[in-house]
Amino acid sequence: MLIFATSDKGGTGRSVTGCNIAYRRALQGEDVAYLDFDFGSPTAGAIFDIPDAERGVSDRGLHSYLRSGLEPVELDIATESNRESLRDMPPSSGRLVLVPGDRGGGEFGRSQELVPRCISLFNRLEQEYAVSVIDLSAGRSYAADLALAVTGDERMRQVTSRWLVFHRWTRQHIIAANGLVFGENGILEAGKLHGHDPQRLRDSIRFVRTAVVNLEAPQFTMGRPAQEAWSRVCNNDLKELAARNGLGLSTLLGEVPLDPVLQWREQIISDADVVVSKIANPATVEAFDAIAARLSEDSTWEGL
Amino acid sequence: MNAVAPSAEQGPLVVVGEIRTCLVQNFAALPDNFVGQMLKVVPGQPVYSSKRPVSHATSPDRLTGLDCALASYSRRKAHGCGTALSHATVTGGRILQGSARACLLPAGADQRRAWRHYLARPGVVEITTRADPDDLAEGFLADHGRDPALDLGAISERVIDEVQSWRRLDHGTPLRARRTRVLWAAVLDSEIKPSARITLERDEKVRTVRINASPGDLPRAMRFCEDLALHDWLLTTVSLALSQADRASALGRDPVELLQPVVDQLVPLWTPGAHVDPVMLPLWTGLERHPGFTHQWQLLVARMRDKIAYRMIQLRDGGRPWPAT
Amino acid sequence: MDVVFREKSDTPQIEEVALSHLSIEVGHLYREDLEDSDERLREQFRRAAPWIETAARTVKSRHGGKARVSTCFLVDDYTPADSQRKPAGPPSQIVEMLVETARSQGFTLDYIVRESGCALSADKPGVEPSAQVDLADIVAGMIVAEPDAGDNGSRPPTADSGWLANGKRAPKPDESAAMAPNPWQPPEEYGRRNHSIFVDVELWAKVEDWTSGAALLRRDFSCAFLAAVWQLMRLGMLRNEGKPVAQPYRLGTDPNLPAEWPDLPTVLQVNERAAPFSAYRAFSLLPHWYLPTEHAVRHILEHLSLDAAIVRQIAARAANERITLPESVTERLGYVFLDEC
Repeated sequence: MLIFATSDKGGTGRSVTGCNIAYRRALQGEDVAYLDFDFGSPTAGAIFDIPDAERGVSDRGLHSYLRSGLEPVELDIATESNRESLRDMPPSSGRLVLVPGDRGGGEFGRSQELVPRCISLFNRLEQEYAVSVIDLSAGRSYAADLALAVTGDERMRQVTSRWLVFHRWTRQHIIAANGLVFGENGILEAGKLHGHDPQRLRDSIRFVRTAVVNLEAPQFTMGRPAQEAWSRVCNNDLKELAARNGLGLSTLLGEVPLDPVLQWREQIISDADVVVSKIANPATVEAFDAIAARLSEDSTWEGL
Repeated sequence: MNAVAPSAEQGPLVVVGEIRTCLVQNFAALPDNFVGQMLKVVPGQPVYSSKRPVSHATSPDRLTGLDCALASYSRRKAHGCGTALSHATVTGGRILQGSARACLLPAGADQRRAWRHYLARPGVVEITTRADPDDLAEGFLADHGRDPALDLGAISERVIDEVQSWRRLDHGTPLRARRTRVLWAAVLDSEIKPSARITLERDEKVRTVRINASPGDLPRAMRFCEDLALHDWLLTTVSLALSQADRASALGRDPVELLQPVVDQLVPLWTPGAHVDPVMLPLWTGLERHPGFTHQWQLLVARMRDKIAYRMIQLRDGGRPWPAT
Repeated sequence: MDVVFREKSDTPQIEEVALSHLSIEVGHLYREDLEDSDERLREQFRRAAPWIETAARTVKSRHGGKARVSTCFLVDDYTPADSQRKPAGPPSQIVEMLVETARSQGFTLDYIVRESGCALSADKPGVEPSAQVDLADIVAGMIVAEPDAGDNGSRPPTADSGWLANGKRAPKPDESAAMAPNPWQPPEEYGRRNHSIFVDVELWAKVEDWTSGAALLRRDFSCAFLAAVWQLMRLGMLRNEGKPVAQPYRLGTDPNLPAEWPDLPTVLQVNERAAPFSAYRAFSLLPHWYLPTEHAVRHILEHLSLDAAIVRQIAARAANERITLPESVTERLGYVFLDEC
């Protein structure tokens, strides 16, 4: 299964959430590959704490593969990461592998070899990994267009592809996320040009809300009543706006609460971070777990 | 087959190769006639095939131009120019291999020659530096095809990609399998006693094979390595499926859906040595003695069948879910 | 008891083709030029005649009176627009003109070949295009690009652009860096001695073909590429899955030729007693303006990986007949470029 992670704008926490979902999915027992297609700034290496790949690798990253066909490296998180919690995943976990981007990759021209090359890569990963998470850059990027072209190809029709659109829980981000999916040159429109069936493509897109303020948190329920009331009104307005923009509950895959660890450190949250050092909130891990599980839950992805 | 035809007076020569093995990307095994069409990668050249005991087909060879460093065990500088041969094989309509190899021969000159000189010697890379055969063979196996030295794996990989881009494949994945790499190096000398050494490398996907044989045995040695790579892949894939099944059981999921396609589709393909020339069979016999390939295979297959049988009994006794342990 | 188990398709066979000592190409003209008048043809044959005699005499003096020499003429009918531009006269008329003009200049023409049959070949008249052998594709599949220094197999050879170079192309000036434009850099011939002679030949152009109702990309082969196929045919180097291709079709005494040019077989044998069409060596008598084309042909041939089994078979037969053959096929080709007088 291919999971494409994209977002309307930068700063949604797409990469850090995507990495955490991949990690959770591996903990759930499946072999998972994470592909850093954010060619402008490949940061997955830093999130997984792999010193040699913090800003992408110097050689044989995804960028060089797409540009010149050099076989990309696969970094096994269990052996390459500096973090103990990532090195010591329980035996029931699957393998977690990072296919990094290239340091200083930059853009590349459109060549007719790109699509077949990308198909070969995805097909190869599909043979080995139950789930491949492909982190596209923000907005209407070239990587997103390439992903649509590849998944629209007849050679990929047996491969399940799903799209996660990450957005912050704000007015601006809701409107922008709507534009990214439904707007002019959006995913649906571009997908149609690449031979996707519009309905099927639409059914394969779900939204993930990030940095969502928890109104049940003590700071609200124990704080000033006026602030609490106002916050609830705002939240309801946002829900209404989201529903009007096609981002309502039926297309929602999950909500990731606002968590300082994600905001400041952009890291993988392990169970130890919640239980032992207690720097992260249990709700955050629960959200990741739920999203990871829903990736393959057929009831979640039924046609709307 | 465009076999390299080295002349005996050149002394010992080195042949190096890399084989990548994977599943044909199709839900079901491909029928023979489909395999024949899929492997027609060179127009006008025939696909070779045989049917017994398992169907096996080999695509025509093609050439890739090379002008690069060669790894040596002593890290002495070596350089070569010429071509590598590569082809694809399909076994049982199910397993696909990309296989590339080059014969390393001393060049008469220390400079690159006209291209037609190399094209008249398909599969030969002429070494423009002084080099010892053993040093080159061991160097190739130790280097694993790293830049900037000769990278036959990438050539094998491209053959696989090309074959898989055939339009009529459904690109379905009936079971998860890793692509394995077998790097092999043969030193061919009429004075040499035939032998083989097989190593599972630290990188889980890599195995290396060192062979000593006589010069006439080159095509047979290559076939032996392909056959070895295929059976090693079967062992790897079945072990992987079993560990996935164990994980699934531990997490309370049904392991049978992981194991069933393996039993159905891969178990019938175990025929070590079937497509290997009798001259090379002693090498297989040696492997059967130690580490006991077929013995290990039988154990793995029995474990899979036990798991499936156990699950069937459970279902019969009321269909309780797999117990989470 | 020893048991032998053998399966038929595991042992491929390369069938042999008949070979002369020498094949002489007596000319090569566009079909239209033949239809306008026979003056051009007469001129070409008049200039070629003394060379034909000399070549034949040389072969016989070296290999004895029974040495086999055949003559052939290539009609360029490939460019697809041409066949539609003019309603062609019946092929029988052109065949007769060629045979008669040769006779009037004192030599016998043995074979007439149509160039489009070097792309799609047929052994007999009226073969459906789908049943013809894609010879140009077969030859295109033999191309092996020359490696650049450092090519270790990691990167795929540059895409099938339809061009073939004998060196490293000049890098494109970097347009984006307007502030510091890159100075021009020259192309470089591989394995050059001091200076380069850089050659880059167009093998085909990809064109959209709408004949099936939908746009399919079809390769439109260049004259140079088809001429390379032609030279390989003459040297007996081509097979389709081991079987001979474009074998001569005997016209016989009662020519009952198709009325349409594309329905002709590729190679038409117009002399009953001709020596074999293909030969160990090929010699061409061409107008001087064919020089660049033939240079391109040799360049293409030097980048082909010929079937090693065919190469060995022909070398063995040559050795049997005590003929020394150069290893490279380009060295088996000889030319005289005829001037205007």
